[in-house]
Amino acid sequence: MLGALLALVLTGGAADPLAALEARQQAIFERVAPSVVFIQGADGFGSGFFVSDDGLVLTNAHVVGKASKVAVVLHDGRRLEGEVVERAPDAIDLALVRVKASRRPLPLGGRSLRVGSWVASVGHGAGGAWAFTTGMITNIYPRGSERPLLQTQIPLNPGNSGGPIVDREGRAVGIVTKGLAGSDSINFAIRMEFALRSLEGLRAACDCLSISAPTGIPVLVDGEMVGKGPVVVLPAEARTYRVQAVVDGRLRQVDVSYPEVRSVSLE
Amino acid sequence: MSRIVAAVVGCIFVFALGEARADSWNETFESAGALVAGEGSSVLVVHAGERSEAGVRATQALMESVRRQAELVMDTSALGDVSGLADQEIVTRSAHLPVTRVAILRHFPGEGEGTAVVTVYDKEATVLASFSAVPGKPVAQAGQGVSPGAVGAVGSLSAQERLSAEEALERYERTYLWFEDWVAVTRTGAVVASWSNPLQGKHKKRISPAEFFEAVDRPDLAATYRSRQAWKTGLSLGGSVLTLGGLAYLLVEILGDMDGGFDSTPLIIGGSVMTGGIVLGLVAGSMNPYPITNVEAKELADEHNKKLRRQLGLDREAKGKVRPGIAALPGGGGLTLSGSF
Repeated sequence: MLGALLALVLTGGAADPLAALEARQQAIFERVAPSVVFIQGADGFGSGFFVSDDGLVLTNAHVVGKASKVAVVLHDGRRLEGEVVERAPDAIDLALVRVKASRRPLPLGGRSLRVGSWVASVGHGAGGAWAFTTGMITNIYPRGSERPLLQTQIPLNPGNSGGPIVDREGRAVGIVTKGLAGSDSINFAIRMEFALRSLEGLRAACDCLSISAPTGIPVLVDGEMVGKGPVVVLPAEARTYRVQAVVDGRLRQVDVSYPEVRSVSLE
Repeated sequence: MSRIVAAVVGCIFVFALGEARADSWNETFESAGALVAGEGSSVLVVHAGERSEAGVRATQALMESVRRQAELVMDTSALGDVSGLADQEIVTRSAHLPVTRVAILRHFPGEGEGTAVVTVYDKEATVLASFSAVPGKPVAQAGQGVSPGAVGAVGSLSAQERLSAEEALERYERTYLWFEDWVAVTRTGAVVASWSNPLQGKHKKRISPAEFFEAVDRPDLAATYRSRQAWKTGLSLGGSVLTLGGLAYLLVEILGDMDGGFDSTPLIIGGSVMTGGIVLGLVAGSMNPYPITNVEAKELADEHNKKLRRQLGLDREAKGKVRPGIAALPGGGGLTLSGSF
């Protein structure tokens, strides 16, 4: 009785937060790992992950190299042949591989990502198979009107390329792409929203919010610019978004409840 | 009387309300300047569309925020009436103005003070940024990552510092510090004296000890050296003057009084003055103006050279490490990376 009382005083009456964190991390790993694959390309190996339930795998272009076929190993150990079906234009380091297997795809996210957001990755860094590493977003770099590049201090190594960066809900918010050699965990990932803009196959497969607007017109979601017309595809979660665009000097504004509404037109 | 009081109170209320509304737009756009203006940019801020008091207040608040970031901020007075123009037309009309960006604010009436939508273009009418805002709710900036303005500022600085390997090596070879050691030996090989001269660079530029101390970022040592050197020089000069003066006095007195009997007074006076001069000269000669030893000076030179190599990136070059860099890119900034997984 006295011991229980003492434990209650020491813990402040709350559950062990470290245990809760540990359990949460383990749950995320259990959910993410089966969707991650090992890819042996022409020039080396890397990681990838399922983005559709019909076998579409997202990875880096530098992982698949110039090959049209790559070897893919699933989490259960099955070895398959994958076909490279799309490479992103403008030397963007992304590619899609299709395998004849059905796996649960990782849900896509990233809208709420901020510097300091908790993130993790599952991949094959330095040959370690399906290794789980955690960290946070340390910066988000701008380029023009976009913020396509995430910096993270998740410990990543050669072999992690193409693997997912997942948020605390287990949603893929980025794709590991590069790290600075000789640095202390200065690693980079391509933001999922940018990947969606870069790969047609990914847009088609994504369970996303699709917004159409006149060509070149900035589309705003909750006040922030998310892209330009004609079509902006966004990873979304179940809630209401305020979608805006200024068309011909007039404000077009729609409140969209996702997933009830999955596409909206501001034309 | 009561009507006058009511009118005055009403005026104060309306004035205070206007101030409060302006304050809430100021709060909204507090950090928006970083989204609108980049490093060294000059911005034209335009209130487009139908004019409204709330729109004017929002535009003023935006301009205030942009002023804190941009080198130059212009309003639409040079463009004339733009209320009916589309964004592209406004950007085209501003082609002759000395600005690098055009920020167009459109205000749409609605609940409260309505909504403002800001779109930022470059001179080619490419959208650089866009966001919407309502009064009192700060435009989201926190946590989104480094701003394009900050990237541009760092990029411009790092670009200045980023030298090619050849340039860095050349700069190092012109500015590193070293010592030329001299040793005086007899025919039998015995060392009778040794000294070191500080030199700079491969062209052997001779520098004074004070310049050396300043080069290694030790102005305190330079000041001590200068002070001691001034004392040494002063004592040396004083000693020389006294010695020569005493000698001259002696010679004049002795030669001028050759016929007279021996008078010891000039001898005592001249000798004393000469002795005083010699003593001062000896004291000056024994004074060491250097505040540190030769070995310590060489250690300082070593540290300076290592620091110089670090600053020029030569140590990294030597180890083959990769340098990250943030570079200004068209329409903002970006990261230059090397090395890959």
